[in-house]
Amino acid sequence: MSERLSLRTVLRPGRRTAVVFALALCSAAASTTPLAAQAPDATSSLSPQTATAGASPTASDLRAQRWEKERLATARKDSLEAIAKAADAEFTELLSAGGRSVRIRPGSLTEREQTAIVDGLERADARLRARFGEDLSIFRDTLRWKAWYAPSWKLRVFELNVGQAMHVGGSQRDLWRGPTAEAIESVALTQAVRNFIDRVPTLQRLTGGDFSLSVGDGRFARAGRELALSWASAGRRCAAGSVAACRAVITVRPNARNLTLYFEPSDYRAVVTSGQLPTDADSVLFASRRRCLAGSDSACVNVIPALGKIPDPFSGGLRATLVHHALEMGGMSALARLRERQSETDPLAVLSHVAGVSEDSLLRSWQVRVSERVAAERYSPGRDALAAFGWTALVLVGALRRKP
Amino acid sequence: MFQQILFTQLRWTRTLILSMAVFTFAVPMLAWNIGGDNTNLAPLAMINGFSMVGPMLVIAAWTLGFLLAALPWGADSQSRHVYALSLPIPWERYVGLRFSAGALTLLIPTISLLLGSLLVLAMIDLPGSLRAYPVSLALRFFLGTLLAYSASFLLQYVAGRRAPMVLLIILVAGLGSFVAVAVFNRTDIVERVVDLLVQWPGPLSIFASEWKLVDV
Repeated sequence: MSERLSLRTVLRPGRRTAVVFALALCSAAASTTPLAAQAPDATSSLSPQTATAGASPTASDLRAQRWEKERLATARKDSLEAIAKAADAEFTELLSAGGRSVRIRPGSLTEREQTAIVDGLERADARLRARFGEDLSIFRDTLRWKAWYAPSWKLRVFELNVGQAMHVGGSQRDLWRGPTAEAIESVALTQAVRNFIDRVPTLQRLTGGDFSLSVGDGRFARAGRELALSWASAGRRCAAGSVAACRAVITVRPNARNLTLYFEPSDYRAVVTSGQLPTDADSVLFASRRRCLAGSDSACVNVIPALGKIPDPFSGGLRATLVHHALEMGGMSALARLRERQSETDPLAVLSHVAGVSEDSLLRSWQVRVSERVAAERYSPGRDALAAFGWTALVLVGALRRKP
Repeated sequence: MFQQILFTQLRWTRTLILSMAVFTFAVPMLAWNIGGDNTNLAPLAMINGFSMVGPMLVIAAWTLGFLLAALPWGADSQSRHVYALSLPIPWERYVGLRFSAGALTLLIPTISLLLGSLLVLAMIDLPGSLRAYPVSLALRFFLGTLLAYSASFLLQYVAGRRAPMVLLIILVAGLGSFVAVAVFNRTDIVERVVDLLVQWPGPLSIFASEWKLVDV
């Protein structure tokens, strides 16, 4: 009897997901364990020379390591898919809002929360219509709304799962307090356009998936700071108003061959600091690297071609502000025009077509916008000085009123 | 009269003022050296360095302000304010003069910070995308020390000998309320209180954003 009771307790609907998750995780762990167990075998099967070499593994070792990484990644992906499938089985109830369907777990949300979700999605659809026209079919996606109680935090946690990725709405405060219409609107709006942008491979690569439709002026100001403070001179020249430099920032990714587009000789030390020499590089290169870091420009020029990969000095978020700017310039027909050039490989050509202006005009207007936002957010001590003097005067009056 | 009070103020606090002046003069150079490891671009090194040294400067401003009010009070208090009460001026005027003398001495480390900043800026070339803010930084340091000095001055001259106890009670009450709010899951109240303090025209608004010598 007690056994049956305890089994029933374990399999209560609230805990069923946990059990399914645990099983999926166990299967993932089981699938990865043999791989982990193979690792020492792989090392032990190396030839004695390789084993003694230690610090410099051979090409076959590196290949074996790469294969192992790939196998682990595949196992992880499989287990995540299993978890997502198991979670889907729980989300059986559908809320309909603004032509969308939102999957929720039965009984997991209160009436008020359901209303907030519906309101938020309807508002998002209204804004999409106002901005991109009546045809919203390109934005259709399946949404899942998750809500659970976290006993250790004594909080209800809410998440909006859009397509493959998990997103939480609004600020941290909104997250803890539960779904608000504003938070849902913001997430749904951004995700709708982001999913669409992600279907254009050129823009997906350009932004690195870091696109948000509800970009505030703060994002442009951050982009301006990123350009002005960049360790690549192209960024600093772009911030100072050079359209050619802005073009390089947007379209080029740095490598040893296009170095002069991005960097000046004074940046080379920073390039060598950020890049990494291959582990099997000879000692002469490592010596050059040391001399470069000590201040020798000629040594830096020798080292840079040997660097495996030069990190991109600019974020996807910075480039996403250009996408945002082009969409704004393009107005109601922006997305329709984007669809016309979906397979184009040059991001600037796509964006200038979306904006309906020439590439240089687009870059110039973006640069001006970014600079204006930076100027608007520049610190001015006037107001703070006023407040500080006011508080000081108040304090002095207080101190004068009492005798010892 | 003011000269005499200024003289005593300087005499009681000269070690603190001088050591703080040396520190503030060295801060820009320190920032350049700390940030200089990652890149050979001096302005960027300066920005990197100030992101680390800036908070130190804020703490220094608070410490200087607090001690500058506490030290003369301690000296006055030891003699049971006989000197102050024996002067042929009303108590309010004496407090006003004491406050002004202390506030004036704050200018020494401020000018020192300004000179140190100008010296470092003379040694580096700023690219077109960056700007230097030596006066703004010095002004913020002065206002920060002035605020801390005022708060400490108020505490000393209102609470008198009980000032340490009052300060302790304020700290405990503040911490206690934060803990209570966290336990009852009303972090929004804490956020609102912090916003009131650090957002304009809150008393701590001068400390809200980062203190930098070079920026965009």
